[in-house]
Amino acid sequence: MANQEKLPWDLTEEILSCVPPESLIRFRTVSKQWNALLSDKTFIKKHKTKMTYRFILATKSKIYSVSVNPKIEVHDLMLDVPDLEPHALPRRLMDCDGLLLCDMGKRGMVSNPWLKQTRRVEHEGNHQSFDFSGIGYDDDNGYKTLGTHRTELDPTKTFWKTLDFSSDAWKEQRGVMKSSGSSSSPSTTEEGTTVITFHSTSGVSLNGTWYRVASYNETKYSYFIVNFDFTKETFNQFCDLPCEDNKHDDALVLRVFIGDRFSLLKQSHLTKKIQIWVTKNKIHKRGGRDVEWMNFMEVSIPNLPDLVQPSYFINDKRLVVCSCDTDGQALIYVVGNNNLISKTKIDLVADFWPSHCSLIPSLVSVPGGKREEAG
Amino acid sequence: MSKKIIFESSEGESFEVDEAVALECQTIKNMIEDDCTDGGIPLANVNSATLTKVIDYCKKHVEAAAAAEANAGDKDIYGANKDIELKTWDEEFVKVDQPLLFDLMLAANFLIIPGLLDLTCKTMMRGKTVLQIREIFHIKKDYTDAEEAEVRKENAWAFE
Repeated sequence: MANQEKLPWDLTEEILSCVPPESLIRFRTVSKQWNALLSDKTFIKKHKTKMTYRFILATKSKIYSVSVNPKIEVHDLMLDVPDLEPHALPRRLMDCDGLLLCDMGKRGMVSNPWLKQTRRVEHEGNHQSFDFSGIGYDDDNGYKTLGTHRTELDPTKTFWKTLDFSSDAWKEQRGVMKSSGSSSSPSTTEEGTTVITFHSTSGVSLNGTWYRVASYNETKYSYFIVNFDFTKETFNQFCDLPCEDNKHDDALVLRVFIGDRFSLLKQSHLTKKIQIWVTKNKIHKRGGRDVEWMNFMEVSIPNLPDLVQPSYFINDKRLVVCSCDTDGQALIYVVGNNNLISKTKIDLVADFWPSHCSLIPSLVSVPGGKREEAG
Repeated sequence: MSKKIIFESSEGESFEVDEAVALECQTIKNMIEDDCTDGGIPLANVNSATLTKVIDYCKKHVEAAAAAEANAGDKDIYGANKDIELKTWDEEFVKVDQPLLFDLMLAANFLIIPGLLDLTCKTMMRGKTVLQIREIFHIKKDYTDAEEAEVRKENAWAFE
C-alpha cells in the first residue's frame, strides 16, 4: 500500500478520534489543522462516542481514575484538589457531558481530569447546606451550574439557584421543591408549582440538559425522569421509567449510553436482582414523549449485597459496576452473559468510602470565567 | 462444511477463509449479502503480508466470540481471564513495524473492521513524539517556532 502520500483528512480524523484525550492533547503542536480539529465541537462529540468510560474515585485528598479495559488499572490523576472542609458533606461526583462535577458541600469543582483543567465554584450567601447538583449549558453554549440550598426558616423546602459561568453571577430559580428528607409528610403545593422529591441517586447531564429520577409527593415511588432546561431555566417532567413498582431503597441509576441515549440500572432492594434498560433512540430534551425503553440485561448474582450509590457503565455487552461494600471498600463488578465475570477490590491507599462516578474521557474544555472562545 | 470465501491480494495471491471470518469485515459482509463474492474478491490495495495479518485477526476474534457464546449458559464464574487473554493477544498482534501497522490500519479502514481500526489507530499514536507523527503522516510544520512554543506552553503538562 502506498505509504508515501498524505492520508485523506477524514481518515486522519478517524484515527485521532480513537485516541484517549491525555495522549491526544500533545498533538496540538503537530499542525494548525490538527490544533483546530481538537477544539472542534463536532470532532469532540464524535471522539466522546468512541471512548470507553472510566470510573473516577475520590478520597479525602486524592482523585483516581480506574479503567477497566478489561484489566483494571488505577491512576492517581494528580489533580490539585481543594481540601474538604471540616464537617463538610462527603464529596459527590457527577458526570456532566464529559466534565466532572465534584460537590464538596460548600464548594464545587468542575474538572476535565484528562486535560488537567479545573475550576472552583464558590456559592454565595450563608446557607446551612448547599449542594451542587449538575452542570449544563443553554442554547448559546453558555455553561451554568445548578445548585440547591435550604433555609432555616423552612427546612422542608429546597431552593434552586443557577450560576452563570461567564458572568460568575448566581440567580435564584423559582422551582420550589419539597426536601427529600420529608417525603412522608403530606404534600403541599405552592401556587403554580408541583411538589416533587428526588431519588437519592445523582443526576446526569446530556447535551446541556440535566436529568434526574424523581417522583411526585402524592404518588410516592411512582418515579419518572425530570429535567432542567438551562435555556428556559425550568424543571419539566421528561419521561417515565421503564419499570414500575419502584421503592425508594431500590437503586435507580440513570446514565448516558453510547453518546446520546440513556440507560437505567435498577437493583431491587428486596430481591437484589439487577435490571438494565436502554433507550431505543437518541434523547432530545423536548422529546420525552418519544422515549422508548428496551430490555438490555437482567441478572441475579448470588450473594450480591445492596449496591450503595452504584456507578456503572455499559461496554459492548458487559455491565461494569462500581460500588462500596459494607466496610467501605470500593469494588468493581464486571457482569456479562447473565453472570458475574469478575469482582475486584480497588485497594486505594488510605481511605474508605470513596465517592465515585463513571466518566467518559473527553476533550471538552472546562468553561472559564469570562474567557473567550478560541478562534 | 462452512462456505469459503476467496480473497485476492494486490500481488494476485489467493487466500481462502471461512465465511464467518470474512463476515468480520463490514465491506465483505455487504458484498456477501449482495451475492457478489463468486470467483473471489480482489483487494487491489491490500498486499499479501497485510492480508495475512488481517485474516489472523478476524479468525482470532471469531473464535473468541464463539468461545464466549459457548460459555454463556455456564453456571460457573468463568473469570475475566478470557477478556484479558484476547486483549493481550491484540497487544501482541500489533507489535509490528511502522509501515505494516500503517497498512493494517488502512486495510481495517477499507474493509471496515471497527475493532482492528481502533486497535491500530491507538497503537499508531501511542508514545509518539510530535516529530514522529509529522513524519508518519507526511505533515509539514506550519507553525512558526514562536507559535509552536505558545501552543506547547498552553498544554505544558502534556509534554512533561
